[in-house]
Amino acid sequence: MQLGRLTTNILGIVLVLILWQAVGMHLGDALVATPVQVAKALPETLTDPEFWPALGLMIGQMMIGYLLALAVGIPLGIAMGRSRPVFTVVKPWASMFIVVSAAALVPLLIILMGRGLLFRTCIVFVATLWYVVVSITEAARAVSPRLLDVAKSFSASDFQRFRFVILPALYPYLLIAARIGLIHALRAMVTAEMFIGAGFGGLLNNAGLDLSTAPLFGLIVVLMLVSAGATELLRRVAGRAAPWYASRTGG
Amino acid sequence: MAHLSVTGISKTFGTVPVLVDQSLEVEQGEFVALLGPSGCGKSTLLQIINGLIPADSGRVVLDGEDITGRTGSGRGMVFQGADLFPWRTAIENIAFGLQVKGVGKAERLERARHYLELVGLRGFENAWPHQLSGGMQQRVGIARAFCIQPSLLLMDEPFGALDVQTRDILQDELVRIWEAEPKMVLFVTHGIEEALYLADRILVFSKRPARVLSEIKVPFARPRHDDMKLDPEFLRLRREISELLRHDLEA
Ligand SMILES: Nc1ncnc2c1ncn2[C@@H]1O[C@H](COP(=O)(O)OP(=O)(O)OP(=O)(O)O)[C@@H](O)[C@H]1O
Ligand SMILES: [Mg+2]
Repeated sequence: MQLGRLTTNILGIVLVLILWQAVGMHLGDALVATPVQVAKALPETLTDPEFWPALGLMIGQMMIGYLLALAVGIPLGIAMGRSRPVFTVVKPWASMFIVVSAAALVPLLIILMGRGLLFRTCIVFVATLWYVVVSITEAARAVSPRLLDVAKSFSASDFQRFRFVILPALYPYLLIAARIGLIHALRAMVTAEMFIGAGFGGLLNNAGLDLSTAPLFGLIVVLMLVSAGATELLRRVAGRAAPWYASRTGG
Repeated sequence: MAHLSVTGISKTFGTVPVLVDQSLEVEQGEFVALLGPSGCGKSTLLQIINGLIPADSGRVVLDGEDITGRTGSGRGMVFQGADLFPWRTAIENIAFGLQVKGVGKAERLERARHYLELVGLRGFENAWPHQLSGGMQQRVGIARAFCIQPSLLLMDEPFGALDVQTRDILQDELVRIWEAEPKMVLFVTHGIEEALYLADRILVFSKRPARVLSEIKVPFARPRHDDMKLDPEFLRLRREISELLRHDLEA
């Protein structure tokens, strides 16, 4: 079963690589560099003295906005899901912000707070927060009323029902929100850096000016690996911390 | 001296009267079945006694204490679908009531283990609910209710979702456990045979609004055996109750 999934995954990747190679050979490397060309260009990218500091800085600065978004978004989402008044007040803002893409906010935020750490943290925070809020709200609303009744009939207090029913019921959703939120955060961070031409986004900008697209694709592949690696890590944390959930879904 | 006294309970949902001035008494160690057509108000009555639904009027007194509108104290509830907490192992589910009461971990697990073994689940301490069959889940549900050592056990069609064979087995198990730890039982069921097989006394309810059509003392001695279902007296009572219910529905 586990082996079967791995094989299909690898097969899928191989198929995409073959397709990519074919398209690249057809269009030429000024438009689409082939995987082989990207692989050849990659060592140079990775040994570029600017590369590792740029990647580290991007991830480090992103974490601030991301963690803040989780710290605010999770309690806010639970409050919205479990309290009608909070829901009524916050919901319009959530619906409004969630449809605005991070890119649309960048110019405004630059005017308001310049190009420094505050700006980057803010853009990541805004892009991640509402996603976390909305998904946690939905999960909190869906907590089984029957299980809450079970707890109540064992005379659990409000706090005990929160601690013994609502929190554990939300647990898998918290980890899913953290995982998907991370992708939103990373995207917002790259968008912001590309706007201001700094860090990893700056490298992407520069690579875009190159005659060959090989270095650009190299950077994109690195970005994909970072994102896939981080989400896989969080998925494992989830499987370890919520075994009832993982073993039920076979994940 | 354990005693349940329910007096003058009325309940209206919207404009629909479900219970009008209903009273019942249960003596120490008595097993009482509540039998009646679907939708007549049996669950509502049970949940009022359990404290999960507020009555419009009336009083519930258990062991001399007025518990109207309050959950907990002296009552253990077994739910139809078992309704176990999916994030707790079998033994943690059984220990839930004790945890709510603040019993320390070592002690509550030890007491839970006693009931886990009593319901025949030795070896399944650490199983997650989804890894258990429906019948095993309901065993955990029964153990969870017994574990707080209530003086009154409330059961709302606890075997309604199980197949016939499993139901027969669990009926015998329930009687065995209850004989080991006698307590008052209110057992809601649709099954005439089930009521006759399990109960000391049967309250037959009319269609909505529920009122007691007939109170039947079940004359069979304990311990009871499967072959009593062929006894002429058993068959006579079964026919009598079934005609009573049919007449009421046609009236
Ligand atoms: N929360 C509620 N709001 C409105 N009506 C309700 C509510 N709960 C129950 N009712 C109504 O009250 C009546 C009695 O419901 P109840 O669940 O007590 O019946 P029951 O005897 O347990 O039926 P069954 O044997 O099918 O379980 C039904 O007509 C039902 O529709
Ligand atoms: Mg019912």
